[in-house]
Amino acid sequence: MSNEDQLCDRVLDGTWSDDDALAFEAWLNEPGNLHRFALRAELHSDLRRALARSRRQHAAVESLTERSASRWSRDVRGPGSTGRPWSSRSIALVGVAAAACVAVFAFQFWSTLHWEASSGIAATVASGVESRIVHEGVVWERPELEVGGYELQAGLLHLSFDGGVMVYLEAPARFDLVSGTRVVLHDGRLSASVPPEGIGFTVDTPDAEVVDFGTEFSVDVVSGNSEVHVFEGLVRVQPIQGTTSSPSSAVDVREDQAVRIKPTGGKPVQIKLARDRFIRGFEEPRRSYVRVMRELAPAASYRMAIRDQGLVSIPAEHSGVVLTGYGKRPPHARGAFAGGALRVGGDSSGRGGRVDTPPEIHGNAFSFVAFVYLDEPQPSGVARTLVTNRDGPAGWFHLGADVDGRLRVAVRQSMGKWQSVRSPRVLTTAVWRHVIVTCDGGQLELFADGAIVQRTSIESMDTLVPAPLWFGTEPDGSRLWSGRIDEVAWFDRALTRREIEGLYEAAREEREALR
Amino acid sequence: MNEIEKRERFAQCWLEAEPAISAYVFASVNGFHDAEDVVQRVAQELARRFDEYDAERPFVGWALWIAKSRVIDFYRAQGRGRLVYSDEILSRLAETFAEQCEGRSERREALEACLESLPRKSRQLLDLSYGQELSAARVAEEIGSTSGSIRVLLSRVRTVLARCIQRRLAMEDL
Repeated sequence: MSNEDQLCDRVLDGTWSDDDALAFEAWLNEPGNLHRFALRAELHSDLRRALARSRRQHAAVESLTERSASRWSRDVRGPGSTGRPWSSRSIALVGVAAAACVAVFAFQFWSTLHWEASSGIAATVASGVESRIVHEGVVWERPELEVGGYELQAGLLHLSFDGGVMVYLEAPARFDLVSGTRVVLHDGRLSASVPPEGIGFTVDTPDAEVVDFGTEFSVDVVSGNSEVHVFEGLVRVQPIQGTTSSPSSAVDVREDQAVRIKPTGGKPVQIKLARDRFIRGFEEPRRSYVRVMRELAPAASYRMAIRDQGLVSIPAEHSGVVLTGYGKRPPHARGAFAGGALRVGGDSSGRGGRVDTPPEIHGNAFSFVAFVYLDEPQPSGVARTLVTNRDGPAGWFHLGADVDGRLRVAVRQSMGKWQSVRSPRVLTTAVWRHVIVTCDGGQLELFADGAIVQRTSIESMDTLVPAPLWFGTEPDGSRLWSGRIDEVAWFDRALTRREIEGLYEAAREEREALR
Repeated sequence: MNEIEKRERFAQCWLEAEPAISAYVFASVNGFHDAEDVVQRVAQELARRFDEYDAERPFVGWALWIAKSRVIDFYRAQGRGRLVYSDEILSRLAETFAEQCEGRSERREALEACLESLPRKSRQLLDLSYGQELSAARVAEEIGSTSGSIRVLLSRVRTVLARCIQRRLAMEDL
């Protein structure tokens, strides 16, 4: 090894002396040495990148193992313990991730790379929905989030980073804030919106490094896999080297594409884009659909915003409650346009919504409007409920999917006799459908996506006595819907064909614009 | 070219040029976090001024030219106490990194293979220094040595790796 290599290393490591600086300047001016220095600098950079990745993967595996162990140890820990769920190894992981930043060459002042020295504000809380953030075993309530490890135990969190980067996290999630431009997502789900000023924002997962180039994307770390979904622009995904000896190349993931990276390494596998799986904003936007809807003056409308409490109506007297039920809470889900939706089903029971004071309907005429989304094919022989006020002898309306998976609406006529219509086709899964039911006192009509699908004559209905309205469930908790319900509205009149087409057209245009 | 196409075109250009730009900035700016900030600023300026880029010429050259300006800005803001290159050296360094773009991915792949064949102790030294970001003094504490010896040992390991990379690339050329 030559002294010149050592001199280059001291310069690149930032450990040079004044004499070194003079000698280096003279050496650099000799022919060929600039090229030699550049190659040495490149070696430093590549070593940092390769070893930091390898370390990060190792630490992530350890962290996952430790997490289960620390949960157990917290349960058995005595009152005198510190209660710190984040181990020293977790902290080391953050330090490593910080060092793995984009294509680095370093004139290093090693001491500045230490965890303690790199502390500071990494992000600020822009908004939250019933969020509970825990940092080092303590609930974090300040709006500024310092560099460090966090756990989002409940709710939704909207964080603002450098360069106007916005990140949305949904519980449960565990993440480290490394800097204002870098996050390590250990598990959970995250969406990021990156303007040009935030280019280079990076999300590390146990399996990959995701570098953004001004776009909108989501990352899902679950069951040992990492998924990256790109809704706009382009991101670069660099898998961390797994058990295979050959290095995995970075791949570019473009708009409308998604990939899955396995912990064993190897090339990312292309998967179907999940446009509706991720929360990409908390606000219910004031879009044209809502404007058109309001012009039609509904008796009550429910926008199904992201709320953990309440089923908010306009006007407010028809508001209700979201039933939280039992079992594993299904993840929050995007609504028909943006914002939230009422989600029912998953590994839980007793979920849905209930309105005790629905609007009164007079004169045997009404309309019901909603967006509905079925998550998975309906098991044969199982009926599901979308909306109902039928409860024994009470109530007069029921909308759901019958045992064949077809939409079915029924109303109670005079003398307690029910009349119904069914859609001729099975309800398709994983797609929002715009559903409208109208009744003018003589005809009951069912519309899907702006077109009539079935109609029938009805005799006069009983007096429409108000009864509690249930969303996504029967009053006894059975026949749970499996999916989402959004943008619900009731009218105390039958909407005209023209109004129905206008509503659907507004919805279609708005959904196109969001794509 | 509409906005979406322009954005995608920029992303492609930046993906190709980013290793050279980062290498240049990290070789010119004293301090890991400062260098990261400068790279970020370069990326932002490139995005903002992408309309000025002449597509007939290599993007990396234009990007290095802007990177050089941002490095000089950084020198001005930071003042004394740092190793500062002259304008001429910065320009020549930029040219060198542009020339070095070719063959970079092959060198990186060769490095991965060379790392696999390193003796255990050498690999441990690299893991502590790069993987765990420990200072030479901390590494010395870990393995019972002095920081001076650690720096010399690290230089030796890097030189071993550099020669290994050269050998592997030479074999591929045969």
